[in-house]
Amino acid sequence: MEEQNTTIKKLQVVKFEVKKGDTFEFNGNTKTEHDRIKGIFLRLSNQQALQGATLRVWIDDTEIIPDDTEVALLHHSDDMSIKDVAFPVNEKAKNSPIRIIYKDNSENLAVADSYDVRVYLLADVEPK
Amino acid sequence: MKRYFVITHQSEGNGHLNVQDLLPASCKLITGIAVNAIAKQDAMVEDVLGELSFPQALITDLLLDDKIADLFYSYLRTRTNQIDSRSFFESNILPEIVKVLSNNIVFPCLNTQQQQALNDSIIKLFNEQFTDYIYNEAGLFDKAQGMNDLDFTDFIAQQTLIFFYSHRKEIFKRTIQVYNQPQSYECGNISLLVNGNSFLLRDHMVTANRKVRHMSKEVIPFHEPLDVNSNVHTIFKSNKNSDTHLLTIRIYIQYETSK
Repeated sequence: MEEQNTTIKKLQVVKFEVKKGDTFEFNGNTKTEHDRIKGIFLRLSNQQALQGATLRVWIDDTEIIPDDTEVALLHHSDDMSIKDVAFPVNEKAKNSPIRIIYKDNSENLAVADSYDVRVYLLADVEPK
Repeated sequence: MKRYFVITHQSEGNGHLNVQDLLPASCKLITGIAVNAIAKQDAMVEDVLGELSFPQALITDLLLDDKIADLFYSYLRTRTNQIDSRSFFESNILPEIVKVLSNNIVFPCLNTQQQQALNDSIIKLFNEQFTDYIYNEAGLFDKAQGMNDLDFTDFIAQQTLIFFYSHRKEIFKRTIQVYNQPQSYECGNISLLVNGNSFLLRDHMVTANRKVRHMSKEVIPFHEPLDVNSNVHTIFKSNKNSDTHLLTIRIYIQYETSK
């Protein structure tokens, strides 16, 4: 018999607006009720801005995505399920700090002056 | 746990690269490599025609108008021959239909001028072609003979919808600006060596500006145990296709940490 998976999957969303050519730094915390962060992926409201955009991410003071990593590598493309697309990580949640530095490089690419970036954190919650 | 290390190098004016980078101390086993190149180019703006969605509540709006319902009623009571019927339709019913449609079809994504142009094109289309359509193709006069009030209303509403839908491509469109994305091209060959002797990649063709897939699909798997303080030697041979564009090459090294 298949082993029963008792952990509950949750999502935390971090949304911010990035202007053309800007660097955006986000500092926040994971949710207290989440136990571990198991994955991360991004979606951009304007996918034309993907090319050249880079990011760097820390969760619980551990650098999980190094400086200058292209956002395209972590972007959720429509041909993949969320399970496959989440960049696997395994860090403590429970109100631990998250820091995201997002650098846009779309001066000559994206149509609008700004676009929304959503960072999804896939979390596990152990049932009490 | 898998970790990543990014090495970024830039090649200017079709330059070759021959550089060494120290890997992080915790990198003792390389499990994968991914390479991507981007050539920064100015993208030209282009005007293209985009489609607007077909309005949903079109017929509801039409039927809600009391004035139109009255007109339908009076049409049935008074028209006996086709010429008479046609002139009544043109002078009374058509202007009401046009008014309702042009007032109610509003797209928030259009600015005032674009909205006005859309309204004008709806008015023009209906004034010029709708009467002919409904009399010649839909056969309004003959069919209306045996209809009651409700059937007639239904018939007009349906034909309006059919007519409008068949002309949707010429009416529901707008100009949008898109930026041409840079074209992908082969920019050169890359070789990666660990500690100057073991090849990770050898003359690997690099395509600039290609569509980058997800990390899990980009990584080429490896199993390369390393000594402490190992370095990666990057040799890039440009094939001179980059013109004046600044080429940014990123090498992602996936490694296993003991943690």
